[in-house]
Amino acid sequence: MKLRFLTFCALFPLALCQAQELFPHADPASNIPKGVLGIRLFNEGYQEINQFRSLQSVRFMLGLSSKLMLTQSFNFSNHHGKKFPADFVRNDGTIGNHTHGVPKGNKYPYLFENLNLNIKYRFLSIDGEKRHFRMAAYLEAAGGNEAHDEAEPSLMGDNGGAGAGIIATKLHNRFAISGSIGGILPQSYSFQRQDSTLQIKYGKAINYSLSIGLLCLPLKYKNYKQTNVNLYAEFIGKAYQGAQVFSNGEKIIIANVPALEKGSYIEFRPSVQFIFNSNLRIDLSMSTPMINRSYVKSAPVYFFTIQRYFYFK
Amino acid sequence: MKTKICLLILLLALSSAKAQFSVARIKVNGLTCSACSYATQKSLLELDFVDSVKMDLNTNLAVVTFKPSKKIDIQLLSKKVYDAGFSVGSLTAIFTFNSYTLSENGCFDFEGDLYHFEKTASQILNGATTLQFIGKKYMDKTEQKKWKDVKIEDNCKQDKNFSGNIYNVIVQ
Repeated sequence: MKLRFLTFCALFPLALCQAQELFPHADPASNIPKGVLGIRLFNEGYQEINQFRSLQSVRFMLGLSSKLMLTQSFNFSNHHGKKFPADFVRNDGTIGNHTHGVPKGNKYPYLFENLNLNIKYRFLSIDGEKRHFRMAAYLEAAGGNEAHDEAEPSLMGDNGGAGAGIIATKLHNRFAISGSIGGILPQSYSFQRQDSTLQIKYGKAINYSLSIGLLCLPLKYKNYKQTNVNLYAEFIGKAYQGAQVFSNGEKIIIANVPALEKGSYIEFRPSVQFIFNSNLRIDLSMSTPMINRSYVKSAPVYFFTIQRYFYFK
Repeated sequence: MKTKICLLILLLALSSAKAQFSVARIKVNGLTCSACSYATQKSLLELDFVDSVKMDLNTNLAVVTFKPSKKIDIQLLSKKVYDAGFSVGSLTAIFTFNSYTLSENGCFDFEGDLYHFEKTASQILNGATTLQFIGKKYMDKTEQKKWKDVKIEDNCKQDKNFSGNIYNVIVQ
């Protein structure tokens, strides 16, 4: 009985909410309207031993047609040095005192990381009254050549490379759910050190997400000026191969460096979203590991996003 | 005598009321958020013949009023909803007829476009009349199935040089 009451108390607020699919992290299958420009300022930060690491992304989203959308993201961060230290991976497979999780003692510079171009095509739309099921496919390419010292690739900052995937989103009155699966083919990174040329091939990866969204306020719409409050729960992860390191073309057997080994993880990312004047969107969010962990970032990671659409007529 | 003249003038004025579209009602499907409604409204307002758009944010019904002097393109109304990323659940428009004699399942020419009346008995259309548009661009999939066999009757066929839009409508 007590359990039933507690369940009721927990679920009652959700019963007042409607579905919402403006996910802070995963992209839904829906696109930005044709001829509209969206600008998103995405901030991510976490504390790592001796310094605060942050990533900023300036994202331009343009609706090319009702089904096609182009996104350009310019990513900046203090995640990488300008180049690897000479002892990044020694010929005996050991690493210097700098890999993620080990005190580095030096501050990382704030640099431009990469440019990500993403084109998304919505190929299926089954719409009804306050509901839809949509599917979209995306292709992305990232240009950049970062001294990224983990196997896990990311085309939103850490790596150059290419990616593709599909997204399915279901919106039905009080429930919105979206899933995506994609692949990442990262570009390798080479640098010259005193005795040899070192090349690191990052792991190829599969990225996946499951997102749930709820529109909680207002309970009843009166006008466009009412502030919308939305809640989201997202589960985001990757499975990636281990990195391979070559010295003058010869493979180095890496000795027990978890960040360079293959891995997989799922993070839980809860968010609250405010939409002002039916346009200005502010997302507050965090992520914490749920199954395994990402070696790229130290949990918890905090996110702050501002987004606005610009209509030209 | 004076009264009769006044009545005659009034009748003439009424009978020559300008034939035109005044308002359309569009049920927009596939959305729940006010930001989505706002995007749809902005998209519709891009049309130069649209005077105003009033969206009911709870029912997602857009009431579009037209500028009286402009040519109305109903097809573009539908396109603008799709451009915003959503679908048309239903579309009706109010047309003011000026004593038009319609034959059974007949047609009506207006500003270069052809309006074919489906499942409509012969009648005289006069005054403000609500027309419901039928077809893929103007209704949801369930409704479309009911009207899939609609075809233009022979008496509606236009000459080879006809370049306007052809709409299938019913009188509501």
